[in-house]
Amino acid sequence: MELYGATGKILRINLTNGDVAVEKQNPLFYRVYMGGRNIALYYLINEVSSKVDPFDNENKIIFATSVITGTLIPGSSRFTVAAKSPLTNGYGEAEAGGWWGPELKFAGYDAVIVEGKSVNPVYIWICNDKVEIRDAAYLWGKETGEVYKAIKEELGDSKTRIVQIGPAGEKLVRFANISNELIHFAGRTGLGAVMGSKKLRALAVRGTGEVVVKNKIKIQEYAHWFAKNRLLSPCIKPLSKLGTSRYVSALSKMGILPTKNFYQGTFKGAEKISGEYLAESILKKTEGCYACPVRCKRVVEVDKPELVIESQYGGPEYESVASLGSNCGIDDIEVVCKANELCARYGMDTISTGVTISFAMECYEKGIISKEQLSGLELKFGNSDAFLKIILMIANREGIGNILAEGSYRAAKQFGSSAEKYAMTVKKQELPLHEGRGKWGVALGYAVSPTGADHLQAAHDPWFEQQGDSSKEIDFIDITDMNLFGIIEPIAATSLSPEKVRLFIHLQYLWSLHNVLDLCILVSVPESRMIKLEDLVKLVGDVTGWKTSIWDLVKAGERGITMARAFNTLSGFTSNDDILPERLHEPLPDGPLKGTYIDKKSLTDAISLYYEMMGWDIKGIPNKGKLIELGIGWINKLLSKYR
Amino acid sequence: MKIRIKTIGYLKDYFTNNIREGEIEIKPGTTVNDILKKLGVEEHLSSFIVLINNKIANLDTPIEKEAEIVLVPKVGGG
Repeated sequence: MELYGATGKILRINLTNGDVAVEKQNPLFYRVYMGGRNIALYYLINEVSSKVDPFDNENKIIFATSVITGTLIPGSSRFTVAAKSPLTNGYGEAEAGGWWGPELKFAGYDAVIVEGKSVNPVYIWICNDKVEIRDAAYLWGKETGEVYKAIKEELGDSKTRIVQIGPAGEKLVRFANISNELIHFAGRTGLGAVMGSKKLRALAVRGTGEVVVKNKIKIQEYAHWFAKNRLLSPCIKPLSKLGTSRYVSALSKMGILPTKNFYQGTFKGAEKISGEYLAESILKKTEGCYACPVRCKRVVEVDKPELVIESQYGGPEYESVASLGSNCGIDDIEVVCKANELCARYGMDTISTGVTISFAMECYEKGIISKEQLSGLELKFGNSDAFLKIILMIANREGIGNILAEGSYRAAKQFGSSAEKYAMTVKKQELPLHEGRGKWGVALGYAVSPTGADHLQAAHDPWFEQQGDSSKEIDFIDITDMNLFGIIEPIAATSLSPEKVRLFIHLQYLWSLHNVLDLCILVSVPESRMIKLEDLVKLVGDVTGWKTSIWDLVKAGERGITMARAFNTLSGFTSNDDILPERLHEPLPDGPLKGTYIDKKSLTDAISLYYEMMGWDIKGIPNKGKLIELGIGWINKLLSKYR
Repeated sequence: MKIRIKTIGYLKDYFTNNIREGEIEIKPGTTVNDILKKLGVEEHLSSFIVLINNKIANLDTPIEKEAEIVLVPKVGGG
């Protein structure tokens, strides 16, 4: 079997003893695991024992690409970062677009495994066959923008691509992120703190090779077709024009824009923080990722005596706008963008930062924490001044920031039992900015996601609702490609029926596949309808030369979900961890969905049915037969004592 | 009778006459779909959600009395 798409090489770097090794993987390995989360999980399950603390020497951090990364397929720019998470203590994973993943492939590697710990700060320099561990003592403590510039100057190659942590990662803030090229983030599950614990500030990569594909002409033709036709898509056009904040005002009108720590779903200031408003005010330009013509990234700039926002840090995504805006009661787009810029400078996940601050705001307003504890800050919802100050206190672990840097779940434990109900977390990770009470499939995804609360487990419920002419319902399902899974009837967003669970697992397989192939969901089905599922089968075949199918690809997605579940089982997670914050079981107080809540019994029933459909036992542990069916029967020997 | 119609966010781009907010005269029993056809919006029928008087409705819901119709883009994730 010949190998196309992948390089066949995995780079292993040990920071304790400085060893560097290149390990070869055979074509069959790629045929089974394909890339991204599956490659990362293969190594983590085999090599990181269940007893390891995320900050231990024995934790490993893995940067993985897929067989399609670095080809001309639009959206193939992404890479996966994975380790045991310091936020959840389970499987930690985050993806980012940008330029670093393709560059790693050009340098000749599919993945980098970093193990051990350095005594002194270091960064890793990968230039084709040359791999060095270099001194980073002079970079330690500096903001990401300074480090980006300094490493490029030191290496003398402007085309070098850099992933790095910021000062927050160095200080082990449990939701520290990893950035590449300053504006693309592997944000979630606190993986920046794992790099910080290893005294690893950055990985700089430069590659001059190319990704060898089986049928270059077919891939080129598809890329040309995509570039030419993208604006005909009703989903891509607003994405290019407004970025991912295209929905802010719509969400508020629907009553599902998380506002004031998820208390309510409508926000009076929604228009003022919307993608439209941003485009008309402080937007300087748009940015994009490798091989993608969509350019959904925003770049903002403000240069006022009282407020400066540097454009090198880009601009906010939807998640950041809602977490640092409506969810904290902030309706000033410049303040939201400044908060986003501070998170980029210091290296913190904007979702967890905003939702941890909204938690602290609610605790303050409810009298659970005092002004004295907050070093005199009046941390009310909407107080911009206190809001920007607390971000810096968290990043620097100053005052109460030292407690909030542990994330809202752990902070609530310190503030006392009355605070716990205001911590909007699942598996200790803060909720993303999607109101589960209006999208029950998303809420189910929050509960069962292996990485803690996550909004990218499945396409969101509204796509599958009956909204149009009821005589055209079949057409409606067709456009989401779900008919290919035998799902031919619309399902209400506020339903946890068995049919919804069935829809959810098929969507979850498909979404997981995107983290296996490291393909951006924003250009793919059903989020944008540009890369259709049949197209994807052809594209993967044209890159790899494999005879593949929808079934085969979707099974790779399922493999990833089940491997992640196995890792969590080994880390001590049980079905008791598949729960939602109490607030989602309370009625929404306003908007068109006023009074709607998620019934606990309905959720528990849906989760039990989900386990059954996934081939997991009543405790949520993957069954022996399911693992064999997925081609990962080797995990059975590890799981047997937990069953 | 008169009804108010309003579009949210980027949906205005899909209205041929670029209407974002206004009033139109209709007969009782007219559906939202009929109104949209009149406004030249036949494409992308699945791309938005219809609210009639702040309640979620369908395109084929008949309108019997004065109402506010709001068209909201369908909200995905990410």
